[in-house]
Amino acid sequence: MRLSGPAVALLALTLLAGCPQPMPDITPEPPVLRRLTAAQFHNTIGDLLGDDLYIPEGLEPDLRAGGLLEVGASKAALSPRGTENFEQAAYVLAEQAMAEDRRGALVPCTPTGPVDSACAETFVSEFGRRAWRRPLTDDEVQRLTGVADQGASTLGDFYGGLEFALAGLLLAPEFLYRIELGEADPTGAWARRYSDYEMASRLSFLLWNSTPDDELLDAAERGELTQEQGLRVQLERLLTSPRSREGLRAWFADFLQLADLDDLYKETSVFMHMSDTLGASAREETLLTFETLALEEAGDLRDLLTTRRTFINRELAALYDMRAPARDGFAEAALDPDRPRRGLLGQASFLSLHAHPVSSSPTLRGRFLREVLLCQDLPGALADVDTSIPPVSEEARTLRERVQRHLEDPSCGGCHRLMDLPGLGLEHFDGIGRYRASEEGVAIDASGELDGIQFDDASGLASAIHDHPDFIPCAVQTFVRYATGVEERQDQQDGLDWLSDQFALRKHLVAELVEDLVTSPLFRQAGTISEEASP
Amino acid sequence: MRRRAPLHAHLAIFSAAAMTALGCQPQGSEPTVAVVSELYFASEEPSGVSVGFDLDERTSDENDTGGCGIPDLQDPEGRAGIDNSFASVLPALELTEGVAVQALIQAAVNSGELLLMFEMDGLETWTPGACVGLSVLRGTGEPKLGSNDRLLGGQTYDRNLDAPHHAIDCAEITGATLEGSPFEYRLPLQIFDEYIDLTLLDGVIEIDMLGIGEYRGRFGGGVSVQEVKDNMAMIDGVGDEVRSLIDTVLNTRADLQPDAAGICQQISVVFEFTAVSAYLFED
Repeated sequence: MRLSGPAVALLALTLLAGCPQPMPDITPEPPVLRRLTAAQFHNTIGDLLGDDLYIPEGLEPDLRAGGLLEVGASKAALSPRGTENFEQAAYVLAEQAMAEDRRGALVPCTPTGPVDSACAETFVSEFGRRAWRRPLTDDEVQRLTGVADQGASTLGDFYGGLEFALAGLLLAPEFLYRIELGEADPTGAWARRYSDYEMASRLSFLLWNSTPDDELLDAAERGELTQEQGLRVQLERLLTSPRSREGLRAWFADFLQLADLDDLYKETSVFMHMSDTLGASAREETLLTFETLALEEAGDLRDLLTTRRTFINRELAALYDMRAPARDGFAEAALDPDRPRRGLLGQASFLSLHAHPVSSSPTLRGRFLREVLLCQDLPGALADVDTSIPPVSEEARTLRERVQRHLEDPSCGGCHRLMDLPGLGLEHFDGIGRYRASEEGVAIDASGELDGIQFDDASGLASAIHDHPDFIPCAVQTFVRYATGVEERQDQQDGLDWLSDQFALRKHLVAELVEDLVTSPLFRQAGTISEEASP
Repeated sequence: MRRRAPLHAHLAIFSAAAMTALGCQPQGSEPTVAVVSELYFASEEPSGVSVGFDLDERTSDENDTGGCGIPDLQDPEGRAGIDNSFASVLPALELTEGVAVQALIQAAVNSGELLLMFEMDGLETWTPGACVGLSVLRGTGEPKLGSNDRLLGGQTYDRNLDAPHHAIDCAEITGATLEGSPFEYRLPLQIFDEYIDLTLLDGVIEIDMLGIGEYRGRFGGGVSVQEVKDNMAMIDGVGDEVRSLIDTVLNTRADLQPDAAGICQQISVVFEFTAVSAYLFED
């Protein structure tokens, strides 16, 4: 059979896409211990013990580092207060799990009496493997079985004894921390690699934001996750599971720092549409936009910046002054093509988070664009510089006119121009994201500039970020940080560049980025353990 | 066309920005919708002065039998002939019931029981003298309130298909105001512990554009004295003394539509309102 010219070209492209050049050699990061984030703790408990348990909240605050909670997790110590909270939570959870109507699903054997070491040992072994994400050693099993037996003997109740063993499992560092230290690579390909069980944990927390399931642990037990073929099989299984939406939403939420919406504060006398539920609604809008356009429809990640499609409830529809698409819950809505609101930068999550409690802020918005979306470094404000914005006056009524002082001041202007000139493009939106045509009776001028690109309003700014050469490398860098829990080193830049190039070749599809990273040395290769790397 | 009080200068803050925003709407776009967020009886304050309309096209004094001897008021700009006789009844009513009627009306607005809405078709070009289709309807829903304890703008409601609907084919744009007549509408108002219908007849409505999605306005008309009496008679718990007092007040303050015997059958009523942008579910 002869192939036509276009068919040959298509085949060549397919082969090229299917057989990319491998990632250049990188120096792997030293392994770190990552404490489960609050969301991961919650999800993991749900997976292990059931979704309907009462799970105490606020046990220990998450820490943000390198722009991400997931990186902060590798730097977060456990405070004495946090330790007490986790201990208390462990007992609360264990008591619920061993309740009469629930324990049957958790304990795989029927005790022969108040003390049944064999049954306790079976529970500790089986449940322990899921909780600690690896098989327990014989010593660990014996120690925890002993705890169960002693408790059962004292209480005269087998399940009462198991409560102590279960609490011990949930209190252990092996549960609260993701212990991924690597092992010597027996194949000699690398000096060190992450072990099969560590890969199970890395995969599961990346894609499901929760603990590995039995199938993944079984694959680890069979040694499949250190082999590329086996790794790809499990990667595909996890990615095609509906649960991957939750996991990748967690990345996107961390990327855009959406957890901060939990503490959103705005002065309600200034912003009438502010409410206790606005932060949560705004977060869901952004995550649904990501989930639907980037994951479900496999769209170009950059298009999230410029899309006129959004997903809102009645509260957000009122804020945006548009008809609600549904009476209850969230539904898709089309933004007015003649208005500047579009994409992520037109959403209440971004607009409200990066503003003051009583006003918008070109500086905060511009700073976020530079630092988070473009991964550019900005100098901090000088200690002895007055950063306050002049009050409204006859000469300076709009915020643009008032921040002009910063732009003209030689000690502030250099940095403020970097932040304010793009940030001013969003001045059509007030401090919670409601559209306004004027401020203090003066029509808003939302023109601005970003790295040589002039624009007239937020819509133009969205295009400027969409096309900015730093956006995709920044998204990739953030994703790698999220997946590995560490900030990249300079000598890993080639690896990041390779990922960015691959991402572009694959039309910026998030699932492809996941695959390229997970199968790359950046995710699989472990560095040498550093004493400074973890708390 | 009956003479109306012109737009009050302090209400006519129709900014260029708002004009621009309205102009942004494409031709043939869907109607602009607003919902009343504040509704209250126009009061006579100071004495002899009230917002309102010259509903009977005459300036009455104590000797004018055509106005049943009820002197007309002046509007705040000094125009004579303003009919709002109910303004003098309201204090007596509030004293009788012991509850602020205005607060009850506002509570009904805030709870969503009285969602009075305007649908304005053809507003987008804002051409002076142009015809705008103006529909007055009621919505249903549970509105969210802002920190000012008033309905938030931009909310979406369902049409209340059981409530009256009034359409004015050609409301006219004058300056920053949309003026429409004849305006007739039946409003359910909580006067005592129950709702009574107040049907405005042969009235006028004016809506001032204040800015994007912000409106202020007024509407007035005649209310049948007999209808009010009949409604009052159906309300339990109103004592004979109170009913008699209200009858007397209504009889003595009726100022419109005198019958052959010279007894006025209607009393003039004026409401003021503020409104905010709103939407209606399509299905």
